[in-house]
Parts: sequence; structure tokens; C-alpha cells
Amino acid sequence: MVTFDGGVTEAVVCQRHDRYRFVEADLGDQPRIARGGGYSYAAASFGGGSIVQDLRRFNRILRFDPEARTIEVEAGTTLAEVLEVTSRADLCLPVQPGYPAITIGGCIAANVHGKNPAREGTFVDCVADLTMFHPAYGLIRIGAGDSSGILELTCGGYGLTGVILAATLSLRPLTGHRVAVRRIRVSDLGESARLVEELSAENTFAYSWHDAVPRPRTFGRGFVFQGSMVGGSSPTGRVVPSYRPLTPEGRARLPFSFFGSLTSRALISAYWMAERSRPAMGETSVFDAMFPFARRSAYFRLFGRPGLAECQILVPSDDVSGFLRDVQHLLFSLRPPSLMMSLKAFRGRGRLLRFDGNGICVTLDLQRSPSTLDFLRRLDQLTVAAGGIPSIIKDSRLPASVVRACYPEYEQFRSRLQAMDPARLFRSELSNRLGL
Amino acid sequence: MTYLVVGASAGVGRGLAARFAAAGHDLVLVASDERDLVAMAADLGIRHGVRVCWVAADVGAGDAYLERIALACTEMGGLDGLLLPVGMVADDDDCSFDPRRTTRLTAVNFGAIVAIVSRFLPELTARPRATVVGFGSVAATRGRQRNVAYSAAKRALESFFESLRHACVCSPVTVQLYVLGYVDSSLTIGLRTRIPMGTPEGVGDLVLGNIHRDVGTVYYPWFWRYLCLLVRHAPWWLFRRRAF
Repeated sequence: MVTFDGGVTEAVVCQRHDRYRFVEADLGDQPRIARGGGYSYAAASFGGGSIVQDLRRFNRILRFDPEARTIEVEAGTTLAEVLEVTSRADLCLPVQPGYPAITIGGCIAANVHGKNPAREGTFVDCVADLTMFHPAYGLIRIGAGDSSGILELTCGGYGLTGVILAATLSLRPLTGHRVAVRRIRVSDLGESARLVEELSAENTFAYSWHDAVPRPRTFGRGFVFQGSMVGGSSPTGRVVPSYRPLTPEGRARLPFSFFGSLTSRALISAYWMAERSRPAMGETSVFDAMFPFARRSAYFRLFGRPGLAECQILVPSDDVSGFLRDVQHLLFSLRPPSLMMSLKAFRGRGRLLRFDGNGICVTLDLQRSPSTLDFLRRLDQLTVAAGGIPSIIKDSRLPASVVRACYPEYEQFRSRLQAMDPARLFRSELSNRLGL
Repeated sequence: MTYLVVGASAGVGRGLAARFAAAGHDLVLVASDERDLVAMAADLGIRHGVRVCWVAADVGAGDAYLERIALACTEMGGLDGLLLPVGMVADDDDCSFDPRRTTRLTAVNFGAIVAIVSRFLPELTARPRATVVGFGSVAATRGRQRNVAYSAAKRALESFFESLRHACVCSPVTVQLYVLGYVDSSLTIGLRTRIPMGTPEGVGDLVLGNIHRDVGTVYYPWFWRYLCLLVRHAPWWLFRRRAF
């Protein structure tokens, strides 16, 4: 198996569960870990000598109550499947990460965020209850009033508390099947951060895209995208169109990376010029707005077998300008093969190992190479100094020392996990690397 | 129309149930674990808006379940077809011939299917048109030292469906047998083979597309017809050398 970024590869023993009795099968003290769509950039669903329990066929919709605005689904159900059903009643999940084949179990385990975490929060905010399996506890259902703390530990627990089998999720109204997108041209990252923060409060989403190729003349130029749902229906009558899901193995099929120094410049400049030449106001389908890469997967494929590196860092709003200046300086001095940067506003409370809090989320995409890894090591130091938190699920090489330094409740998570599961049956490369 | 799917909770059974429900057919699902059936019935009902009821039964243990299925089918307004992808394999189904295991394997893979067809055939012949669909296996092409009882039961099933098709020539019942090669399921995960695998959904599409056609025996994936022909006619001196 391989991580989506191509950073970790490991041969594994894999089981594919489609029935309850398989989940409950006695594996003795053999470590195991559940796996969903496999879109995590870090090896959260394999590694560490664990048996991989593939839950993609555990994808049944158990209950849908449009009146109560809730849906209960099995963990292997994808975001696209949920949207397909809920959109018929003009409802949708409030938090939708960027790829439709991501499973609900994965969303819970990584406590993912969507297009507007400042307004909608993170995935934990829409989980009403969970059904999970742990050999020591059996099949358990835990709700909002859970006093055991297992629910809190499981949402953003990276699959280490047991197998998430099903969840009841809260929905919000889908006020239209089209999204009006306004594009604002920006030339400066600081200006963009201010705009994104301001626009996030009032819009369905607001995020930015920037040229991050380390060239003084063009670095930081970009656009802020602001979207609001509008009426209208999909031309085909279907909210979820057909698309070909990209797998981690499929992403790495190209034996080389397309992104050299010249091609990176050319591609990023071409994208910037294409966006600039389009009208500032446009309209797109809900599906394309929620999952912008679903039908444009070529970007990820072009990184080829060498892979990509993505780092996502949540920086307190007060420190973001200084942090962005430091990142720019570091990029210019080390000149790693960076491509693009994106900013998004967050409002929330970071607990345990959840990527959540108040501030601006800075995302940087790079081609994977030795100079990239050197850059990321230096970026870790900047993150710690700025009081930021790095996303654990987006970085397959993040060291335990950085996580310990950035997440104030690291030790609490570790000790609570140990108390809940002294045998530590659920393990992965991620949990071993982070000392969990 | 209403179809009975026996062995509905996994692999090919799930693929069939999903495709038939998507085409608007009501379903009666039979499998051994009630929890899987509850989940499947809810899922198919929510996704496709069809009526689904279920019967939890171990078809390898007696035939008391037949009347429970009959009751469920009556509640659904009668049956228009039987889809019978039920089956089981055992890792130790070799030439050690454990009597209990052999009895169970033949009961699930052959006896139960004969019992179900026998119970519901009179009802089906009274419908304007109906279909009985069985599922064989390429493992039954030629006896080997592995999957001994399973292959024998599947070969018996082929013979039974041949007779059944002949017997139903002058009736409104269409009889079909699908001989399945490798199909992507929990049984084949990690299987290293150069032969392309089919999918449960692919089986579902094929069966749904053929549902009232007198197709007789169909191989899935299609190339297995020719592979099986080669294996069946391979000379013994060559066949005995192959460890498959």
C-alpha cells in the first residue's frame, strides 16, 4: 500500500470486510487498523505490522430522516454517496473535504475540515453518534452524552480507538444545486489572509490560491474564491455526476514527475493566466464546488511515482503575516520545488490531536524531493515558533517531536488512548511514528 | 417485479441486489446474519425507493427456513424470479473428506438451491413470466485436489440447471446459469492472478440485462468459456502437472 502523497509504501496483509461477523472475527493480539478510501497523505490506515481492515464495502445507508436532518451511514460510505441521497431532500453534510470518494469513517478518524471551517467547524461538529467495534468492548454505540470519552477520542483519533462501523451525522440545508463563485485577484499573501477571514463569515466558502513557485516576480500572486449557493438545478438532474475515482496507486502510475523547474513555472503561470482571463463572476455545480479535484485529478497524477508533499499549518491570525513572510523567505533561500499555496480561515477549538482552532490554515504543495524534505524540516521549526499546528493527516513525515511541541494535549491523547486500550491493538505507521 | 436473492449479504449477492433495486425491483433478501440484512434492506430502500424484506436463515441447516421465505414472499405479493448466488467455500476442502464439512458444503452449494427451486417453482410457473438464476463456478470445470466438495456440488448444480431448463421449456419460466470466474470480493482479496477479475456489480448488470432471455449457460467474465474449454480438454498428463 502507498500513501496518497507517495511518501510511505509498505506490503500489508489486508482483509476486506463486508459483513459484521468478519469485523468481529478473533485476530488474537495481532495489531490491526481500519482503512477507508486511502486518501490520507499520512500512513494512518496501514503500516506498523498491522492487518489492514478495508471497510469500503461497509457502505450501507442505514437511516435517513430529512425532518430531523440526520443520516446514519456505515463507515465505508463515501461523501458522494451521502450527497447523492441527501441532495434529493435538499440537504447536505455541512463539512465536505475535497474529494468525493473519501469515506465517512476516514472523515471522522481524521476529523477533516471542509471549504469553510470558520463557519461550519470540523467534522466532529456533525457527528451525533458512532457505532464502533473494539475486541475489548465489543460492538458499542456512543452518543453525544458519552461519559467514557471514547467519542471524543475517536473523532480525530486516527482510527486508533477501534473500528468505526457507522455514524449518525447532522445535515444542513442545501439551498441550491449551483454555486455562484466570485474571484478576486490578489497580489499579496497578507492581503489574501485578511480577505479570506473577512469573507468566510458570510459565504458558503472562501479560500485563496497562490503561485508558490519561488520566483520574486510572481510569488504570492493569486485569487481569493468566494462562493455562495444559488438556486437552480443540475442540467442532468443528478447532483453527483459520474467521475472516475483516483486511487493512491492510480495517482502514482506515471513513473516520473512532470513538475521540473520549467514545467512547474509554466503550469502554474498557465493556470494563473487562465483564471485571470475568465469573468470575475461565474457559476458552477455544487459537486464541482465541493469537490474541485474530482474531475480534475490530472494535477495529482502529474506528480507521478516520486510523489508530492503537502503541508497544512494552522497559524493564529495575529501571527499569520509574520509566518507567511518567514515561509516566503525560507522558500527563497532553499528553493524547494513548491507549486501552489492556499489559505483558509478556521474558527474552532483544538482538542487532543484535532487539527482545529482559530486562525488561518496555510496549505503548501510541493514536489517530493530531498530538498523538499529539508525545507519541511525547517518549516517545522517555523511552525513551532509561530505557535501553529501542523496537520497530522496531510504530512507523511511529520516527526513526533513537532507534534508534541505543537499540540498541547498530545500527552493527554496518548495517556487516554493507553487507558482505553492498554493492549494497543489498533496501530499504524502514523501511530508508531508519533509514539502513540 | 419481486425477486428473491439468496446469499444476498456479500459479494455477488450484494451486487445483484444493488442492481435489481436500482432498476426498481422489490426484493426479498436471504442471508445468515440478521445485522447485515437489516443494513442492506435499509440501504436499498433509501437509495432506490424499493420495498425490501429479509429472512435470516442458515440454508445449510435443514429446510425450516423455506416457509419463512414463502411467508415473506407472500407479503410482497408473490415472486417473479429467484436469484441464487448462495454458496460457501472452506479452506480445508481438500481430499481429507471430513464428512461433516463435506455434507455442509454440498448442502449449501447444491442441496439448499434445489430445495428453494423445488419449493417456489410451482408458484413461478403460475406467473406470466419468471426467471430462475443459478450460479456455478469455473472450479467445477474439472475436479482437482482443492475445493473438492465445493466443485462437486457446483458440477451437480450445473446438471440440475440443465435439467431444469429442459423441464421449463414449455413454461413461462426462464432458467439461466452463470458460471463465474474470479470475482472481486472478500474471498479474492490479495489473490495474485494475471487473469482479470469481474466485479459483483458486473455480474448484477449482466444478469439484469438478460433477465428474461433464454441464454442458458453464460460465463462471467466471458473469456472463462474458452479457458474452461481448454482445461476440460487438456490431456491428463498435462492436467496432473498443474498445481492450481
